[in-house]
Amino acid sequence: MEKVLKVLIYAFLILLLVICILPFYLVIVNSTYSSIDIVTRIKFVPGDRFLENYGKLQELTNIWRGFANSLLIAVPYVLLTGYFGAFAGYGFAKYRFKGRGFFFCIVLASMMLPSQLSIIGFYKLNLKLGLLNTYWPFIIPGIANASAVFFLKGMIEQTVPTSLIEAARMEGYSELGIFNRIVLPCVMPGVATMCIFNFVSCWNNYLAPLIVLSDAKKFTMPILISTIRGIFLANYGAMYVAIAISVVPVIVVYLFLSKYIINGLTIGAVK
Amino acid sequence: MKKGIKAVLVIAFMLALTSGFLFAQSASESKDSSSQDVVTLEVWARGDEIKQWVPGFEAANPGIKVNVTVIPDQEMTPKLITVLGSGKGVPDLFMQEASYITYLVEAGCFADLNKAPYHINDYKDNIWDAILKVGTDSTGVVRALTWQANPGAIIYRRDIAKEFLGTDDPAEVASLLDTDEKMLEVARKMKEKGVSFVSCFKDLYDSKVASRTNPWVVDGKLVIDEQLIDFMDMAKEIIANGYDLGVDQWASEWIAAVESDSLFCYILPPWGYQYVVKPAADKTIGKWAITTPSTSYISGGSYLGIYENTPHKEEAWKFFEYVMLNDDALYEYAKNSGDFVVLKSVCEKLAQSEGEEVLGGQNPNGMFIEAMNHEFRSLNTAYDSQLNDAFVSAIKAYAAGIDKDAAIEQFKNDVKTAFPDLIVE
Amino acid sequence: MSKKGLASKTNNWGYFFIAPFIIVFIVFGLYPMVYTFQLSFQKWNGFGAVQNVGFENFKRIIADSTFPLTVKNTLKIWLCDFIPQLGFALLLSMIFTFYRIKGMKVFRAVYYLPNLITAASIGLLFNILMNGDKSTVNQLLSMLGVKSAPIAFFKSQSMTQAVVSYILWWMWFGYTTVIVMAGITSIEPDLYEAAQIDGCNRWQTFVRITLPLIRPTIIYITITSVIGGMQIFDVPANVTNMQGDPQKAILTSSMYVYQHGFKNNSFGYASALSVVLFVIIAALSYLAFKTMKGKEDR
Repeated sequence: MEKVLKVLIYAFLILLLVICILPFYLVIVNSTYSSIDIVTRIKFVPGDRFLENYGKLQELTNIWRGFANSLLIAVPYVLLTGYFGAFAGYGFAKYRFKGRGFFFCIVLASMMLPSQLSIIGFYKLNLKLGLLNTYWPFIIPGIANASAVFFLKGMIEQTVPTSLIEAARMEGYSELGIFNRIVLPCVMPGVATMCIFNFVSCWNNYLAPLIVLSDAKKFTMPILISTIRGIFLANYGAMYVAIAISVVPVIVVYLFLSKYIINGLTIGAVK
Repeated sequence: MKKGIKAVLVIAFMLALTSGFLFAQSASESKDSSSQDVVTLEVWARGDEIKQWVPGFEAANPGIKVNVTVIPDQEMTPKLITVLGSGKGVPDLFMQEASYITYLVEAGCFADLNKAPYHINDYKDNIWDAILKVGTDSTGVVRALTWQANPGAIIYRRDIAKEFLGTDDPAEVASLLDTDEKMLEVARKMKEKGVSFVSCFKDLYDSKVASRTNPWVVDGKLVIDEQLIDFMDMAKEIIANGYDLGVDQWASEWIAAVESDSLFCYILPPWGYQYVVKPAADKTIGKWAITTPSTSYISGGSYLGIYENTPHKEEAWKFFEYVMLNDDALYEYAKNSGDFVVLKSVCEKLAQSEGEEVLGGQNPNGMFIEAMNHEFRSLNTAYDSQLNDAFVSAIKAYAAGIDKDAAIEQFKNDVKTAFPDLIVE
Repeated sequence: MSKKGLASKTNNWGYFFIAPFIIVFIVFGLYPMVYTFQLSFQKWNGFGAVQNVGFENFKRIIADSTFPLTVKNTLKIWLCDFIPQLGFALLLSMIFTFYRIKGMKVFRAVYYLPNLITAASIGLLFNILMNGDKSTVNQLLSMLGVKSAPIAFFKSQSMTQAVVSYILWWMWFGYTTVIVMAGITSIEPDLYEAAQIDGCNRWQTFVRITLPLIRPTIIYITITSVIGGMQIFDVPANVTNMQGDPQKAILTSSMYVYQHGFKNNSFGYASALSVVLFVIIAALSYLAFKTMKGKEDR
């Protein structure tokens, strides 16, 4: 009985595994066939038209430019997130100032704000500030990433003893110096976890870049992907190549960093 | 601490990656700006066809470079509104499809094409009047133009025509399909043998929209033309009985049907031949033919205009002139692509040239010229793309089984919510 | 933490450290929201002058029959996604907690994978995989011997909604599983031992011990899911044509806001829609919180 159950459980788990992977596999396979082949018969073994599809794709858009653009936003964003997450986290963890509880409530509440609903205001704000069609509106908010503050505050409380800070103060370190030279190195693993975790959400950001960016040379990966159908209309082969290029690097990176990402995930839930 | 080192490594890696990209990009940009006196024109296009003129143009005009950026129809207007609002990063020339163009033409963001240094009037007599009208605003100023001329056409399979109509002669085929009833009768017969009559009901919708009596909006009031209301029933019959392929235009299956033996025709202007049939035809080369329907109309087209405040007026006009108004370049283009064009002189020349291989040697250009010589009412309004989308969606709802009046009511409701300033009765 | 250790002057450095967060949050998080609220009483076409119109936009919403439809669509899509999502997450975390599964971490990591991929790619991907009689999915279904294949996925309204719900489920069940399991690991093992001594089987232990103890986690998941789910945009916008076809079946409220703002250029009306949506989301979150908390009292 127990054995049958186990077999059933494994069968179920493997079925789910297939469901999760199959679409990606089909993308890769389909990206190697011509559009007409794709709508003629299903294939499970890659064909030989990849380069041709890729050439067609590159003729009309520069997918790697989208890739680079997304990096240009995501990397500064996560670095700001990591640094300023620890920065504010340190402020909350080690100083007892007036209104600390209130400000921390703001941090928590900002996690719950439905940000997609303020896109019109966001758009007009950027119009006023002259930031339309630039990357600043996506990079600067890295400074105010609530989940990073929350996570790193907890980490600083647990791993950085107050006595260490006081000792440094005695030695004449400035407050900023203490943070940069003592606190930050101590919580580096946490900072890295936050960087990697937030990288994903920044990379996938869609609506805000859609409304702020108008120059196609500045389009990020998700925007480029969504315009691809309009551009290629029926060239499925080229579209599959574009999707494959947007998907495969993420999967490869995930192979190496899945631990960090899953760790980063759980922090919101464990309070 | 080991973890810490790993983390630092990851961050360093990411930094290296971005700076690499940054460097590569700035390197490529500095290459562009190395020669100071080169003017680069930025063109926003709906597709890549305009790129064909770029090498020839750049060769003839040293000192001007053209950079084409492709943006799909749906995204074009929002993107333009964004750049026009901030006044920064507006392209020198931009393009839109016929049903979207009136909005831009009326919004006043395109330059008056007859104000110096522009001088379109010099070419006026050589341009098809109907095409000129589309890009003309309500005060009579020409602001946009296309290089294409797009009379309605039926692009059909000769072998299937012979089997079901007994002839593949273009004139006879046209007369055998000159009413809705005749078309539906033929469609019924074809369906019994597993052949779809038309690629998509939308082909016919476009023809009905282009040949109706009233534009969508008259004096701020929504007008639903009788012809469109009647067409709802025809569309329902087509969709419900599977007389079309059952997929949207431009879906992969829709194009792949060129090579199948189960589709009779595409009802599309010459660009349908240029973009759909000609590139996809391989084993069906020679099996196709084109005829023009008994009611002439024009439909679609990519209209290009020059940004009102472009700093490169002269250069922009040179490019515009080269694409639209240069006999040789246009002839070359039409010959290669199989398209039909805006200049009458080039069309005359095309009519004298050899026939198309895909069409079994037929040269349809004479027929197109005849079609273009008809009088066309100007039907464009600033609301066309949205109203057409909404009406097609009402047709689909009707075909899916809801009441005809309810479908029309739904359409009116959509219009009311999208355009509260329109009067809807 | 010791309070006496630091003089109050030093403590004021706390403001310095939290200042960047607070300032950036106010500018890029709070201000757009307030600005949207202000715009909801105005008329603006994106480039011309702004005009005050009082409650005009809100009056328009009352007469707008499409807006309630979009709310209904969004709720329907969200519910059909969320309920199975939570069910699978609970089932999987029960399996992972009570059975020693070889390669558990691999399974979990792969289940989470779809969540990492850009939603725009996923929307487009499912569109081209499923659209048309000869699409890859339809070929797969007929190969597997499914009788009703080919299925016209994007012709029927309920089918298209189901596809979107399925995609969202597919993207999110792994995430939810990870979160639920994180909640479970924080439960003291002693409690399980006690339950086993009392003679509870695995199922009973799960229902009596685990579920009540992870209630805060489930509340967290539900509320964040309500907030996220009521704003879904990326997937439905990319699965068909941005207009929510067929017949507005997957026109969600966020898409509707976007349409009015950036397609019809009526930014004021779009802002007013956002404000109403905000109220709806707040109410739903509160409702979810109340009902789930309420169970505890009974």
